[in-house]
Amino acid sequence: MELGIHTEKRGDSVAVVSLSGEVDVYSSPRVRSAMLEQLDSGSKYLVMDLSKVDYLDSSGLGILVAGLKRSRENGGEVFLVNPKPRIRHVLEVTGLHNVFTILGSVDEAVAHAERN
Amino acid sequence: MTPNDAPVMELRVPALAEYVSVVRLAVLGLCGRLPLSYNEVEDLRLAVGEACASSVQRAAKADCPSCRITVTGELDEGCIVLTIRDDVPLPPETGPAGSLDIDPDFDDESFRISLMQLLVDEVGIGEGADGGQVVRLVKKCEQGRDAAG
Repeated sequence: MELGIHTEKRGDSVAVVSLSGEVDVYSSPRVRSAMLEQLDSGSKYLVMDLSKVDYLDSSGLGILVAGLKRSRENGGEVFLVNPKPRIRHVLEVTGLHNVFTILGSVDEAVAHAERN
Repeated sequence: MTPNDAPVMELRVPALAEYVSVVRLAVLGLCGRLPLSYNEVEDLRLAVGEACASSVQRAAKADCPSCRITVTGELDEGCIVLTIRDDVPLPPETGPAGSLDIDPDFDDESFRISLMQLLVDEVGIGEGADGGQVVRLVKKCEQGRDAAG
């Protein structure tokens, strides 16, 4: 299934990046570009909505980690939202569920970012 | 019934990122015939995708658009064995490796190998007879696990 990306600014410092479909070695450069675009335009906090992602490989995981690192360098954070059980399993086997803050909804993640 | 020593699947695709999903789809079809759970099938599909991604990354670095990935699937005593071989020349100084150029501090090839090891029962990585990389993934099926105790 083809990757879909939708981005939305929430205030000055928060951006929501909603993904759908498959994030793999083919499609992940587009995710990277979307994340960098938001970070470069001043968003310290990225809310990555994974609720419609069906497949996530190491390419996608690496890009999420790179985005997190970049965001933290600027005093921000990357939040992951509502991954499907299969994606949550991948995050858990890699230990990345301990690295990212995973929240249940976009609104919850935006509120979390605005409190920081 | 296919004899154990004959591949039940053989697929050759260009070592290009857009073909990795084709391999994953073929593996999904093959696994549908085996006593594997949904998560086991998805683990195997992800592991195969990682092996192919490694080939794709090295082919891109070697600027080799004509390079190919060959995936074979075999059933062996309660296991499914998937072999992913490519004809991408291995850099002599580094051995099997690739890079996503995500971040200089992020060792994506090590991460990829670790992920494969977490997903399947056995992972073997070596150099093929034609100079490329060979990755062998073994996943025990339900019957194989029962036999092993």
